[in-house]
Amino acid sequence: MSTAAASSQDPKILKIFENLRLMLKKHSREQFAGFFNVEGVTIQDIPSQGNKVLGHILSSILVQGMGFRITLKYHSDLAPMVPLCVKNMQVNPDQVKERMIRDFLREVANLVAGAMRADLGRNNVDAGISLPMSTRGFDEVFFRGTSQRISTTQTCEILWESTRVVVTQLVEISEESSLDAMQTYDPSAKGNADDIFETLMTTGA
Amino acid sequence: MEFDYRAFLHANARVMEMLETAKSHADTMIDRLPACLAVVDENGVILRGNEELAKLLQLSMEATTNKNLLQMLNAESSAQLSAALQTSLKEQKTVQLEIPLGERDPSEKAIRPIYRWSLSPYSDQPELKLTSILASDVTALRQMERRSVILNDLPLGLLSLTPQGKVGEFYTVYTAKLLSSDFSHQELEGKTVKEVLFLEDRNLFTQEETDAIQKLWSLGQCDSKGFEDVARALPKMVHLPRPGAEAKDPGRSVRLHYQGVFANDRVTQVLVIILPVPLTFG
Repeated sequence: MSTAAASSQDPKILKIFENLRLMLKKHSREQFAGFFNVEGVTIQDIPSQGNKVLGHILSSILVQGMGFRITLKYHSDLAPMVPLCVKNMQVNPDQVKERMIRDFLREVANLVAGAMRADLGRNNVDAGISLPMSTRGFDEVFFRGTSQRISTTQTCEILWESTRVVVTQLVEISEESSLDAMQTYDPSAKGNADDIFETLMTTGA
Repeated sequence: MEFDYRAFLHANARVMEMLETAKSHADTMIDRLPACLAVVDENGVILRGNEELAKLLQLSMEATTNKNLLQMLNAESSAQLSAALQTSLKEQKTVQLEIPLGERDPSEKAIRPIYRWSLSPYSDQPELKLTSILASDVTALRQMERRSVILNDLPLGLLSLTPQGKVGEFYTVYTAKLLSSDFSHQELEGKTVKEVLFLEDRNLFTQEETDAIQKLWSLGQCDSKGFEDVARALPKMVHLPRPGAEAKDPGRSVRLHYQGVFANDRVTQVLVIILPVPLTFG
């Protein structure tokens, strides 16, 4: 393995970062809409928020391969998630509990990570995903970020009616060439739905 | 033997579930703490609040996040808390202060709630400049203290008797003076009524009064009706020695009034109000 000599500002790296951002947005929007069975979900970039608390709850999951790691986080308050849970579970708003919302957000993180892993695989990048974890949004304050020279944090928000979920993606590259194949990533390419299923089955998630 | 990835992942999933549950319990404990708790940044922005804090700020718990605590208080309180926050961070020490909340009522009729704030630097990661703040409502306590000071200076005696007929607490400085200067505060507590009030060498009690005094030892069994009967028969005036006077000195007279304190219609204590009489016997 060669030591990374490039920086986060190299055109090649910037292209990879941009494609990973597109991949995140594509799968976040698709999986969110698919999981909750809703239409009209939009996703847009927002400026990085630093170590601010971006929501009451936080679901995180890692996508990791040889020489890179992507940390995905989904931040949301409870109240804006209630209408989605009501629609999805056919329950009354007062029956929606924090645990239920945590489970939903954890599952969204899991599905997006699974889809990303499948997409990376289609681009000849091997990766594995961790188990999703749900904690309080406050924990973001203590998130130490990265010591990697090649890294970026991308932030966007998923919007559906009054629901807002903030998504952050920290990409860390320790091996410069590990994501080279992602330079030619085509976000419009249709993946096989079975890929995600297979991904989730093989990780046991 | 082949590595069983599925078992490995299941084991990890189980451990993570246990950790999440444990953390969730800790979070719930903080959320439901019967005092306001907040973790704020150096500018006073709330990063974590609990239910009591949300109640105080009249917000939902999650709505407290990213609100500036200092901006949610009145100018006077905000300035005090801000100064305490900076001191706590700069000197890395716990700072405590009491701040009245709400706007000052010009007529001073409305009572402003008083909160006791304790600010401690989050020393685990000092570079983050976080401060944990614990605040609790001490309005009732301070009111009680104020009343207690007033009560303390009342020119009458006031003491409580336990259901066993012993002196419990006494509430005015004047009490010990009226009873006898020979008793110090510490000495008075735990004495029997016969030692401090119903001195047989100075008083001639009727049989009814003697019986009633005797019943003071078993007041714990009394209901309100039973207490009324005992109180009616208890001596209404007694003679007590004057400080520094000779033993043969007839002493001074005091009037006594008895007030029962009840719980579930059972006497828990008796308040004895001792009024000086401007007459001296003998």
